[in-house]
Amino acid sequence: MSGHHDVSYLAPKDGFWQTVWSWAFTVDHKKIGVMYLVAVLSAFLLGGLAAMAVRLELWSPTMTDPKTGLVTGQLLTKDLFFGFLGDNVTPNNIYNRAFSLHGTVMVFLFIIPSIPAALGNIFLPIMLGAKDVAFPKLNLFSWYIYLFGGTFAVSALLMGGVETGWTFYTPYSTTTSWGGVTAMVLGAFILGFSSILTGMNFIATVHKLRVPGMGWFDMPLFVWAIYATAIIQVLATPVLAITLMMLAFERMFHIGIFDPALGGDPVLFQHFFWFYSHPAVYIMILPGFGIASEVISVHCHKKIFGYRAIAFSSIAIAAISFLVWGHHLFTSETPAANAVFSALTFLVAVPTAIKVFNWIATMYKSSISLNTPMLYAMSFLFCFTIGGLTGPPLATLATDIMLHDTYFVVAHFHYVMMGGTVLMFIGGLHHWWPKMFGKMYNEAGAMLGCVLVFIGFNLTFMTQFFLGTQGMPRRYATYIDEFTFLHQLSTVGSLILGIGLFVHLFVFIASLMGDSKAPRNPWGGLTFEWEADSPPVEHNFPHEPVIVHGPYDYHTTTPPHCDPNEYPVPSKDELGDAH
Amino acid sequence: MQLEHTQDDHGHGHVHVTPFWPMLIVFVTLLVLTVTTVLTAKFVDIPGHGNLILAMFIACIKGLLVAGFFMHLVWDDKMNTVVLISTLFFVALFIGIVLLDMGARDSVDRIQSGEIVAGGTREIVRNAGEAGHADDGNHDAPATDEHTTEEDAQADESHDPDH
Amino acid sequence: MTTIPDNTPAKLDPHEAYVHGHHWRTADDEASAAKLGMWLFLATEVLMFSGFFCAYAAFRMMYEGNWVAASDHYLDWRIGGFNTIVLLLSSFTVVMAIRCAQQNRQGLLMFNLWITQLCAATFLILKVWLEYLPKLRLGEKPGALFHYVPHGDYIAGAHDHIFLSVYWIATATHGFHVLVGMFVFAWIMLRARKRHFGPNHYTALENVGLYWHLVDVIWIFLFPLLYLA
Ligand code: HEM
Ligand SMILES: [Cu+2]
Repeated sequence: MSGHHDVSYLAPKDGFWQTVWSWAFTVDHKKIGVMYLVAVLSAFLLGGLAAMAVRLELWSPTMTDPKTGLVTGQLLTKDLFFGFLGDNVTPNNIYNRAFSLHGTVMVFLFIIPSIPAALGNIFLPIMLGAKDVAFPKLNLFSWYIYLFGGTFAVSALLMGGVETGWTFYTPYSTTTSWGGVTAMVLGAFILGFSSILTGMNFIATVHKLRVPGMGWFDMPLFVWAIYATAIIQVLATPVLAITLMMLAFERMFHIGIFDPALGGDPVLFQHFFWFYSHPAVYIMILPGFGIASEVISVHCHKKIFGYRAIAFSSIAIAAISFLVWGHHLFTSETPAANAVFSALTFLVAVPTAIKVFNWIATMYKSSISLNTPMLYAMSFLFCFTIGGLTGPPLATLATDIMLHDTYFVVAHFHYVMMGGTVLMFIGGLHHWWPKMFGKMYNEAGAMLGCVLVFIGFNLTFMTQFFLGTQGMPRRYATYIDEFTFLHQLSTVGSLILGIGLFVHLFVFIASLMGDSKAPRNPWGGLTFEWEADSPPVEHNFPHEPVIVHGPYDYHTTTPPHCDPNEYPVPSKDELGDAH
Repeated sequence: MQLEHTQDDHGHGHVHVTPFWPMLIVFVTLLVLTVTTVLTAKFVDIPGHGNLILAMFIACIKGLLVAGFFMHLVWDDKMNTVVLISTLFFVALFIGIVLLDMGARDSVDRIQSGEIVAGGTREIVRNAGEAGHADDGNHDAPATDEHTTEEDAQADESHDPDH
Repeated sequence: MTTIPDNTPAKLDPHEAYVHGHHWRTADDEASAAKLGMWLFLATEVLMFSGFFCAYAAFRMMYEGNWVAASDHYLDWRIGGFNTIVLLLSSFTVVMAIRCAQQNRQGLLMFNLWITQLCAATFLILKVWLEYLPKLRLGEKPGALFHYVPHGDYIAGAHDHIFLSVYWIATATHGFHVLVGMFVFAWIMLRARKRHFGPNHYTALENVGLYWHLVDVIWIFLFPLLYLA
């Protein structure tokens, strides 16, 4: 039991194979987190390529571009599906497969595991002052399940693919669509288990591994967010599992549960699916909220405003998220359910707004260090607020009947998922990059990436709000000429967005290759991870850390391992009446 | 090395030893309740959904006995009970609201079926439905313009009213 | 000559020599976390099965009369009832196995585990032999596979195949859990034989027990719903 007290967790072992072995069979939460990071970023790349294919196809209103004569549909066949498709598929089928590939990969392989499994795995135990998660072997196991399920799903998607979108609605998915659905659905089923096990692990960790003296309200808000996420993961994902299993049975044995021809009920499928998938959208966004709380407080050097409100609103969102799934069924369920779900859906906007106000109040009159993570937090506030505010129009029955299944919905959920979760994920990556890998990144390059992402993102999706309100339905390969301009604007935006993301990739790679060593506490944070080495040693801390101040007590504490002149504790006057 | 460990370092330091007699009583109660379920279901006819409700009531009692005693919840960390109760809450919610929707189906059919086509009567709707089927074959005939060809290719979850 | 021969590590049973994982502060923390983890897993199991119960409720509501008649005709409450008792007995023996571990009665511990295995096997054999195989023979299969071979004076209802779908997927999933339970108990028995469980340490036994009880509870609900509808 010696040696790892002073060795970075990234340190290679004596030989090459020993190093590989030390990763493949590691139970260190940080290594597992890094492996998840690599995996989800690969998924992000794949999903992103599919998105680009979709956007390029939508450049012209028809499948063939009249000016260039380029058959955009064929472009998709060759590039995306490696020619696995048979001859009798129409370009329309291929378009369906492309956006389904995009949606399923982004949802099941990227965004759901992204923050919790990668950043959460690395930082949740450290923030609690623990040596590891509660069940380290289970943690590794869930990574392998992810890998297995992911491989399963991706091969199903690439070798033929599914045409149902990520929602797998029956009866299209059971009768009409190509057989890849079964394989894809089993892949998502397996991925679900990975998500469940991660959630279980995190809940047990938060309950049982807090450093002595750390009460629930001494926990960093990122931990609260991951905890709330984990509750949803544990409670909602099993329903997805059973839904997908029944769907697979439906396809294999025609059990008829969802098949109207046999007396079954397709709307039942929608209920089952959204009972998981609405809470799942909060699996996606809550961790992003957590990062926002950390980043904003640290880079504003100010105590977070309304700690308890933020903490409780995470839990409230987790609870309410189970009550509103029917808002995805406004056009298929009965008026009785419509009324209930519409009313309940408005509720969820309340805790969400509470958070936004708290972040803004934190920034108010603080000394902001405008670096990449903070820039991302501000972009997040802007985009997520737009995404959130377009929720209530969709929750309103009368408007949703018009907007349902149009590009308005597409824009809404991209503003919350991409503008919320993904922006905060990238922001969090920059925030914790020095800690994770012990290297600083090039601030100017990262800022450039952020600006490009912000412009590209808004250009891509703002246009889609207009497309949607003008009546452009989602999931169509062709459209009337009147929509051409907006669609082309959107495609241009997506190219800018893609370039921005690649800028980030290069900045990160350059950082890993370069040698600008990161200090322990580059931003002046107060949570435990800034007391650990950069990168942390194998069991995180040489000695169990002691809790001497709250996670956000910037008004009373000079951050450790920092120059005290850079982060002086503000005087009473400076604090003003904020406290 | 092992000798250094105190009692505290071992699992289950202050363990509640499972008692024999109470557990046996629970077991026998479970058997009796099982027999009761069968007897009431087979030989007593309660009007309405009485039999179903009674059977579920007994099953709940049995479930509580197993959870409370066999699964040790009565003596355990209360957090485990919280997990169970919140689970049951969400199960109730899930089944309850789905049933609320499914149960209201009839009302939709009765009130709304006449209103599907603007200005139409129920008869017109019916006939239109049949005509629609006869129409199925000639989709490809005119093939007027690109924009309508998606009809059979798109993964659009429009909810076909006439299944 | 040494004066403390009894305490040499070589003589300790594995359950006495057990040391908790390095990232735990105390073994108590470790055991209670394992249990919490197990309860969370059970929560996922309950929610998963709730899908079946939900489908059951929805279709029963839609096809009430048909439902009850189908239950009467296709399922024999005597088999279901007997299996209920078998599972209850196995649950009881698991409880007793834990008690034996707590009292370090290793022989009786094994005996209780054997009875549990026997019950599980009985359950599955009855299920397959007396229900699944005859049903497959008679075409009483789920959904589109259903082709009723008339026997007795029963006239098949319009939605019997939906009842049978729910029956098949629910009981097959439950049966699969019983099978998994048997494998896990086999592992537990191997460990018990090596004296891994005793008063100081029986976490795995206890948690597998929790799983087993849950499988029992689910059957407690499936039985009246399917066999006595
Ligand atoms: C502020 C609270 C929110 C409200 C009131 C709200 C409301 C809605 C409604 C009513 C729909 C259904 C629209 C339709 O299909 O006609 C919808 C769709 C959607 N929302 Fe939200 N939403 C909110 C926040 C979020 C968040 C935070 C996320 C995810 C991070 C999200 C993700 C989605 C997704 C993915 C869909 C579309 C799913 C699909 O059909 O493929 N929403 N939202
Ligand atoms: Cu939703």
